[in-house]
Amino acid sequence: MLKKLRQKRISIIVLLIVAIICAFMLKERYLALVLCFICINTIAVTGLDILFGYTGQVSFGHAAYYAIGAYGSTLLSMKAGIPPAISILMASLISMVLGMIIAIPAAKLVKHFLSLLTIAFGQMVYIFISITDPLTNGYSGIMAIPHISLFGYTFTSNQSNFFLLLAITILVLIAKNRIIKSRVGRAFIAVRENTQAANGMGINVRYYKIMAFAISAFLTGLAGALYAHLVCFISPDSFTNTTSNLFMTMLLFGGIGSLAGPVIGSAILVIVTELMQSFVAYQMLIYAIFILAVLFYLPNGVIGILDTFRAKVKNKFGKKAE
Amino acid sequence: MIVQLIIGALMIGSVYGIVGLGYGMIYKASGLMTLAQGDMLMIGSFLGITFYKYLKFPFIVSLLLTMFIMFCLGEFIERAMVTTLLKKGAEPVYIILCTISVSMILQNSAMFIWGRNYLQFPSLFKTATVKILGYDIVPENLLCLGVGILCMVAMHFFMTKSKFGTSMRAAAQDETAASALGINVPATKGAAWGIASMLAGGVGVVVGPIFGVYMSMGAMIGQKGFAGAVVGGYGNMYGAIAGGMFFGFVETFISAYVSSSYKDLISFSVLIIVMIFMPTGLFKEQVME
Amino acid sequence: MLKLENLTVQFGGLTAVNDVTTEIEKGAIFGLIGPNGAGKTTCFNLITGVCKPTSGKVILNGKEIQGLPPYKINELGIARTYQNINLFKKMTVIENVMVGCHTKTTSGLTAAIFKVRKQREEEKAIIVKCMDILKFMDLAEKADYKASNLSYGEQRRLEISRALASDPALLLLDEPAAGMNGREKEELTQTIKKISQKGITVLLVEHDMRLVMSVTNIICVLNFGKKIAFGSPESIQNNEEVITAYLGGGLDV
Repeated sequence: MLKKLRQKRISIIVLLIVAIICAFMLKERYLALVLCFICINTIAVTGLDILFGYTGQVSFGHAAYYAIGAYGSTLLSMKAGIPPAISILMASLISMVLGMIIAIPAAKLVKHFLSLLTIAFGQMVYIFISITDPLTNGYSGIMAIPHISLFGYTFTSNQSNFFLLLAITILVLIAKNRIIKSRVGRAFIAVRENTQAANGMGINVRYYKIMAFAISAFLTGLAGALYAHLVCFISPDSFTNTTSNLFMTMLLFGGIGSLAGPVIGSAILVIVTELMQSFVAYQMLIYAIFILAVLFYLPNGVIGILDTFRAKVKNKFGKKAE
Repeated sequence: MIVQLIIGALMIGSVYGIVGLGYGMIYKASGLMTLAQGDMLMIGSFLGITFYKYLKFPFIVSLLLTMFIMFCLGEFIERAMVTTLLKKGAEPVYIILCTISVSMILQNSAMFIWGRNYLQFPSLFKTATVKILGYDIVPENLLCLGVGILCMVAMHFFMTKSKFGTSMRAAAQDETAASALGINVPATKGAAWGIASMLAGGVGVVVGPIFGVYMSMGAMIGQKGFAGAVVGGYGNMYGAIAGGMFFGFVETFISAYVSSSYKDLISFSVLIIVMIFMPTGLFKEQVME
Repeated sequence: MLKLENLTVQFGGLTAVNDVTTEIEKGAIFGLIGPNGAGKTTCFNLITGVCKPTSGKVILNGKEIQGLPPYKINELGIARTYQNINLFKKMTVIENVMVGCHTKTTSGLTAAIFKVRKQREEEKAIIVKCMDILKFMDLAEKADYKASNLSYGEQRRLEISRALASDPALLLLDEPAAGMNGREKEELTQTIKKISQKGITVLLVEHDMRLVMSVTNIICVLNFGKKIAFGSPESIQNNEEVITAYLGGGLDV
């Protein structure tokens, strides 16, 4: 199987690049932070991809799970004294359960209403964390969140966090790859492509839609929790609908329904955001332009362009087009 | 006190209703959802204050001019963006995303043109309050309510009695049949988006004097308007008004008797509960697959 | 094997299927025919759980299945193809067929993530099985093609392949010959016979009378939702009521 060999070769090249970046990281603090953000966003957007890219269920309020993960883990570790490594897992599970709860009505709604339900949910979570002062400190946010510690070592520096986040990101991507290439993944895609035929082929569409929500909420919640313990300060500002829109933008720009799409989308948009630090005022405009660019010119994202390019090259060299 | 509350509730209810009516109209005419109505209201508000305060046009001129411009804006978005995307085979979800980006562009543009500050309308009336039946009422509230009601009534007559309005309703029900009857369906769709923006912008002009004009004023109002449209039965004009009123009252009275910071949370919770248990809304519209 | 008992379904004021009782025996190639709007596809939808009957029963091997959700009915051994081809367009040919294997396999989420041995073996077995089916249906060379890139006739064959992958005891074909040319119809006839030889009972809705007469061994005729005739192809061909139904009556044949 030639495909498998090529995939193995690509993975090795990617790992080499990652290793070189890691070597570099030992010196640059700021760059390490940016890479940390890329990892975290990749995990969050991978979650969104499972939901939207693979089962076709839209979510315009995904920052809700990001917030639940972040605030959940923060409160568990700070108020209940649970070590961050465990509170992160617990918060992700809480996010997952909430995702499943939302999924139950959501799995029945037509796309338009699903959009509204997810937006409303996102807004509700945002309002909740903004006004429940005694619990979440409201708009002022929570400071001095503990870093993650594993086996006695505490990840305080940006560089050490980067290695940890990179490892987690790679695990997440491997898990995603395994899911989409399995029976479950095929069920997801069938649900997205043709619900009626999926039902006819023995796929319990509702069950798989809820499962997709669960996985999606878990991953984005995980990303949120990791974010909290990285930057050690969270406030409702990071969990607005702009954040939800940003996740969508990253996903669409990178390319939905692919492994590398979320990675590319996160990377490009995190870098753009960082470069725009001095123009924070233009932020929404830039995101809007990215969205419009995708809608009008890049419907399949960057991955789509690469695929089209590869197909053209194949054609030129006389190989059979797929 | 109760009377002021009721007037306030009616006022904000009619704002939500008009915004929601626009959402419903677009849905019925083109089967699509937009999330930019709130920002249309915001732009209308800014245009209104520009004409009235800075260019010193009479209020009624400012209002009508704003509505005209907003109509053109709505039509433009439908023709230039929505129809183009649909021709490319975009699914409705992507149209929603398009309107989200329009919303972001409108907000950012407003910030560039008018700045981040909170602008104040000069007083429209000679007196701060007016005495009606022994109660002190702020005349701007009445103006807003009045304009809202006028728009609703005008819409009712336009859609039911005028030729173009009836064509719009026909096209909304069955495009092919309407087309076969010689109705210009693309024009009705463009008009729907145009009218929705026009109404939202117009209501923005009369809401500005009450709350002030600022960049993010549209966001919450847009979402509540949307919520009202859903509760009333998405797509149904009268439902949107009823739903808007519902949220207007819920909000005003919760603000007054419970706590104003929780009003939004409660509104959204109500919305989510309605979507879960009664998504067809009060007027029973089709929402599930 | 499959019994329809007094099956009736009403949509608002319209009675699409009216008190239909018939039995499909195991191993038959059973034709369900009738003029347009007779209720044939509705019967399919009733059998496969897409809609619920207003009254009456659908009994599969002694078990009542009316009203069950479609995915459960597939689990019980009934698979179908659709009038408008309902393929998973963005998947490849073989992936489409692999989806068909869903009911007979069990690997779930954790098995997939941890790639346990059982899951790996199952995947290998699925691929082997699907390639066999593709060879049987003469689509094996195009296994890696995108489903949307196939010709119309090939897409219909793919739909049948996918249905076969779920190891059905009963295969429902909804107008499989629609849009086909003469040669393709001939191939379809052969395919249906091959499928029947494998022991699968076939229930066929079709408008092309020649095809129906040549491939089926028993026919039930519907008109306006009611059963008007039942029997061998020869008897149906000569049945006055059937001829009137198709030609609209008032003509001396």
